[in-house]
Amino acid sequence: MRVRISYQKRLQIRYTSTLDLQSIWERSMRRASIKVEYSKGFHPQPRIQLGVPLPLGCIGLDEKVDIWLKGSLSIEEISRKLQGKLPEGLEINTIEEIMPTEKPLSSIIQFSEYEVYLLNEETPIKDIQNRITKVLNQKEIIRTKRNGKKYDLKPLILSITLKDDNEERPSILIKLLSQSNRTGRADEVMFALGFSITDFLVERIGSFT
Amino acid sequence: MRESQTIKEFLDRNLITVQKPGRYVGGEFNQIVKKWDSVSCHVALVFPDIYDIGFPNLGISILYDIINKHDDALAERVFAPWMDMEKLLRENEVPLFTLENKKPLNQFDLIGFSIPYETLYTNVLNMLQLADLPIWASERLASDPIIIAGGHATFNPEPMHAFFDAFVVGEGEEVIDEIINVIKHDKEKGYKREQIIDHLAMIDGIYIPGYFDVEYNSDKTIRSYINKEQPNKHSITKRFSKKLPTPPQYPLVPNINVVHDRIVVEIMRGCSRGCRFCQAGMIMRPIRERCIDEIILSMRNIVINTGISEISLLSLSSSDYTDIKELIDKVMELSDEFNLAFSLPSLRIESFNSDLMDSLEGKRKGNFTIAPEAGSDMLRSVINKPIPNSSVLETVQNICEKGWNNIKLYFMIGFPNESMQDIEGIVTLCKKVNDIGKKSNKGRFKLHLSINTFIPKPHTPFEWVGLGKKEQIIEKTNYLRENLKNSRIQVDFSDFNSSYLESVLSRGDRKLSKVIYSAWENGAKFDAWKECSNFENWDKAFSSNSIDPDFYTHRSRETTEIFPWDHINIGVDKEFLIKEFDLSKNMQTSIDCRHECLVCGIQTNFQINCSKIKSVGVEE
Ligand code: SF4
Repeated sequence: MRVRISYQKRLQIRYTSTLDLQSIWERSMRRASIKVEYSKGFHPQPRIQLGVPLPLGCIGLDEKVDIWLKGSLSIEEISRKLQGKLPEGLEINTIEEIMPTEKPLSSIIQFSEYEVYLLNEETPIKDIQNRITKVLNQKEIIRTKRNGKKYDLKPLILSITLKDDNEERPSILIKLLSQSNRTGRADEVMFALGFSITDFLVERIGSFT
Repeated sequence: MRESQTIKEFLDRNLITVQKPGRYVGGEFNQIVKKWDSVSCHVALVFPDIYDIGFPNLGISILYDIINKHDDALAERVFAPWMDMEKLLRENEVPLFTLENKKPLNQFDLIGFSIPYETLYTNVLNMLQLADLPIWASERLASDPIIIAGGHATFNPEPMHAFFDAFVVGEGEEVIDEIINVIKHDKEKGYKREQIIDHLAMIDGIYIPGYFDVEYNSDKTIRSYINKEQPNKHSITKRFSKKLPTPPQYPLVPNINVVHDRIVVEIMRGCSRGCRFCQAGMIMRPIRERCIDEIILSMRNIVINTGISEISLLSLSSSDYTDIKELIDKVMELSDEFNLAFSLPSLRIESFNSDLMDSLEGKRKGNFTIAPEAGSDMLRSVINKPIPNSSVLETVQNICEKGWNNIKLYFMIGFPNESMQDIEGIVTLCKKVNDIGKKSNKGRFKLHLSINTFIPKPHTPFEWVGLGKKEQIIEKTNYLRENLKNSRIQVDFSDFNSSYLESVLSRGDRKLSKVIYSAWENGAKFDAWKECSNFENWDKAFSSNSIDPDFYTHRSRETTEIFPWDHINIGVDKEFLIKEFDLSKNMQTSIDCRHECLVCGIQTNFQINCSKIKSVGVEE
């Protein structure tokens, strides 16, 4: 059976990369004594498929992973078995059984929504609003990827809005394309807005089709 | 003083800017985080290299387990920050902190460093500074933690004597409870730091360098060691567990990629072969085996408690384990049940027979490592590893037929009495191995050679021998490189400067503390890392302290010379080492002492019976 687990990724484990998260799930399932199916071939791998990769350091509120299980278990049983078997910071929201033929998450997800918290309070709200307007009015935003290639961030941005409900600190809501070959990064948007890497904390609210 | 909250805020802000931030956050499955104020004794366990390398350290994980079992004590871990993190800590004036409660090191009662090899020394100094602690033990104040060290390198504690308040000689798990009890008790009574150290000194196996005075002869060798405080205690005898303590059943599971990311279960400690170059073989006597039931039960528990599916058996010489065949069969059953990947390192070809090969049938064939060490049968008699070339070849033939494609051969160069013929022997042997492999496994066969410089280590029958001269080692290295050039054999050589440094640091005396300090001031750290090692820092340090390092390395010594480590008693008698040294000069071998006791001193010094201890661990 194939299950889709929605989970949160916060605390220390947000510093675990997507690659390492694969083995975290594999080991968690083994601790829970839930048998996972393996791929065929010379180097059989457990069939665990993570959704859209979450950049290192980001909090995720509704991350997804698909896992193929041997035999069939009730959802209640899976969730009971997993209790206390996940490392600190991973928390399950929901588990659902899905069709084995369903397309992988990475191929159906279109966009993701982020909430970015500002760690400094110095920047005046008005100023932030101005910066957002300016960026949204720009024709293109040329940025450089880690591999040195230049790309235009602008078409990847769906929206940027300031959330200021007078509670605590203001935050910025960002909606970005999240397709396999066209993915925007929230931190890049923040850089375009003139913030530096130590100024903010990114939280992904969810990814949508 | 910055508190945990400030440290956490610092991390939230800055972690994203460093490489592998997961190194600094903890939070691993099975991590133990106790409420700071709920216990009276706080211990920081430090491994002076980065998380990725230190995480799998078995010593740390055993002590972590034992200390945290005390209701009234906690243990937290610290690893060396990589350069990027170090820079941030310094810029932000954040002191080095533990992974669990994010507490600065200077808030702990006891700080224990685990030092398996000498090239970690400068990192120790660097970490003490990052922790805002006085680097010199003599400058520590009443409010400072007690800072101790243990691990294989500290079997010669002298080069680091000035930086530690105490050393644990031998197996830490045997002594740690006694140390914790002294600290708990003394803290409650309100004793001062000095008094606590005096009480620690009463524990067997604890060496307080400050208690000893050293006098030197005019030729710079040592005249005497005098224990000022306990005049009757001339030497410190190592501690060891008669019965191997149960392995930790809930080891931590890393959240990020680390080296050796697998379950490790120690099946046997010690080795009876008596290779004359091998320090572990001498300092880890006597042999103690863990019984099969305990091994299998522990493996099963650990698999369930960690979810890790890669498993490895640890010992100096796995195939010498008494019931190795039965053990492997049972491990294979377990592997099938849980779908585990199982590796069995340290096989000795003398005891790895085709029976065993059959047991390993069907498992994925990784590397097969053979360590002939020397290139000729004669030189192997000198070092007491009497494996004839013919059986190396026979084993290779067998394992190739069984389907292993990757063979790794280990050699050392620079042994006493080594001639160019022995070096030629390495080439001939390797070519033959390569031919056999190619013949049986066609294109898929790969041969990998690892060639290291022999370093005469303290507490071994070769402790009187000098390190090979640079010109000679380089000549031999060039010869090997030249003659193996076109054979498609991959060859790795150790760097002579690193071997030289390791040799100085492992054989040094108290005068080296200043040198280590200067080298660190000059910028030396992460000396074990190829990309960081910089011999210039050390060169300058030797000359600014007017120390000639050759005094410690190349000189051959008289057997009457008093060595810096002679007051550290490993239970093996000096007479035995001398006898073995003499035998080596005549190319005579000694047998494996499982078959017949060679009277090395272990039985008499510790009042034990080696063959009983080996299997049952108890002594009536
Ligand atoms: S006392 Fe005898 S049996 Fe025991 S380790 Fe020494 S030589 Fe071997």
